[in-house]
Amino acid sequence: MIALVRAETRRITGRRGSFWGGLGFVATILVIAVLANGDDGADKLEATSTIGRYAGLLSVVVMGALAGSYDTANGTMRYLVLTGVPRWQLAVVRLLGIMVTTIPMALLILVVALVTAGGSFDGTDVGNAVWATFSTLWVWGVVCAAIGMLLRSNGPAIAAGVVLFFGGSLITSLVYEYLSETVGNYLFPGLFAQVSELSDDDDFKISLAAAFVGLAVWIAAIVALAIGRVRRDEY
Amino acid sequence: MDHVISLRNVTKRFGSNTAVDDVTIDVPSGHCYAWLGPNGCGKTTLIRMMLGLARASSGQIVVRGKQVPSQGREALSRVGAIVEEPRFYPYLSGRANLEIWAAHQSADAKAAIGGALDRVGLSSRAGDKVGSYSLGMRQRLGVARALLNDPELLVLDEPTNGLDPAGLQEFRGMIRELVAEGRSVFISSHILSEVEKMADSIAIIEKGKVLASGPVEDLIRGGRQAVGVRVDDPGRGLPVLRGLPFAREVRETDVPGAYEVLVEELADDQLLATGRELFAAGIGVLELRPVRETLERRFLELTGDHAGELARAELGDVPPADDAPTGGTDR
Repeated sequence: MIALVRAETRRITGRRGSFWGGLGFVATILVIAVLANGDDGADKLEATSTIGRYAGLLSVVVMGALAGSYDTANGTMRYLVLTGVPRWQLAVVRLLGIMVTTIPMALLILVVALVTAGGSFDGTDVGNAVWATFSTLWVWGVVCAAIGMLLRSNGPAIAAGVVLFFGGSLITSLVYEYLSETVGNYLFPGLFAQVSELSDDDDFKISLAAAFVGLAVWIAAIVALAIGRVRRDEY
Repeated sequence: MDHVISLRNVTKRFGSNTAVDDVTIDVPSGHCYAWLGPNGCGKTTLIRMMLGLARASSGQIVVRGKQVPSQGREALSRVGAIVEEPRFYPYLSGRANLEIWAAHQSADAKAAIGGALDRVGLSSRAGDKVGSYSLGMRQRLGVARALLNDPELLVLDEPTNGLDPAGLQEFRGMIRELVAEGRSVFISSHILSEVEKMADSIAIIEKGKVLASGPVEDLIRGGRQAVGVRVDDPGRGLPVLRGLPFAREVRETDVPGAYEVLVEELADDQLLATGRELFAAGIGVLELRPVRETLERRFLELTGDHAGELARAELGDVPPADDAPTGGTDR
């Protein structure tokens, strides 16, 4: 399995446009965020890491969607299937691969946020920033890789990932505002926001534990659909 | 005789379209077997089913003694393949691509990379990105990938596409070497002359159906064989030719005074006897030759006009009709 993940990592990082372009985009946004923010200490740490992780999220949407769809779109999937590795394992390896390849981006965000924060911050502030950054990049990387496997085509997979982020946030806001705050909280973007912020305050209508479970169910369902498609498809 | 592939009544339907229609064939081990037919006749669809990439609508597929797809992993553990066209990661080098595939196989596969690249003549370009390779080079890299798991069976779908004449000759030699090593090779192709030179046995397919199969020599022998003769006096020559004891039929050709005396199985004695009878009757013989069908003529005869158009187009004679009906899809 380690050899397979290493091979997947090599494939993802080999797509330099999405991998290095993503890192470059995050680096650029971080520079702007650092220069524009006059705060220091814990506030600056949080602000920089938050801006960095949302920039990273957009990059990871592209990387993840490509990781999920590329082999099918490129015609290489049939040769991977012919190696005899079970199809479910090929699918799982993509998810693990995208998690591994987002680590440099997460580290970039965190190092820049910590180095430039100045002032005072404590271990909890750092822990929150680490959790928020990794959970954002991993959740969206995995979800977008799964979307890529479902859609099997690079362009639509990237578009669907971006729409899920922006459109999903919009729909969640509308449901929250006009239909039910609790229902809105159970939608994917609401759960993701609560879990990534580790928030249990009154803005969220369900407990943090319930949010963890809800988010896990959403991710498991999307991943299960994707693996099901990989197992079922003809190549 | 052991069979490396056995297909029994294999059918594949896409909606109301039958791409592969009740195919039954046995591919002997240690042979080069060719699956020959015009584009769109179901060749790739059959290969995809054999390799577990697509499901058959009905029928039984056995590869290396194991059922596909239910025992696909065991069946395909020593099978190398090129399906439709060799696809790689264009942004990685040829060697890096093979390393990725070897990572999905075994340590032995990784150790085999250098030898496989040498064998296909790509060692000097192995460090270049695949995106810079020609189609012929990608075909060769595809063969190298197929060799990584020391295959007992190689399944190669249109493997000579994109090869230049020198590459074709090398490729033929490589296939014969692989067969001499005891491996089985299953090739699909629409290039008749290539198949004739490489394969021991063939199946001719059109619209998803097998029209004929067997050793190449037998298939050619099943076609028209005749004594070709041109005489200076057709009026007197024709009765003499019709009177030959081995003549099944005498056909006039487009050339004045030229005939074909159809026989069951052509032999030198029949040529000599034809000349002798004509000389004895005082008829001048301007030309006397054996007529044996090539595989190409046999193929066209079996597959009819549509396949003939395609085959001639591939030979550069006429363009194929874009809306030509096909029995299935190769996609």
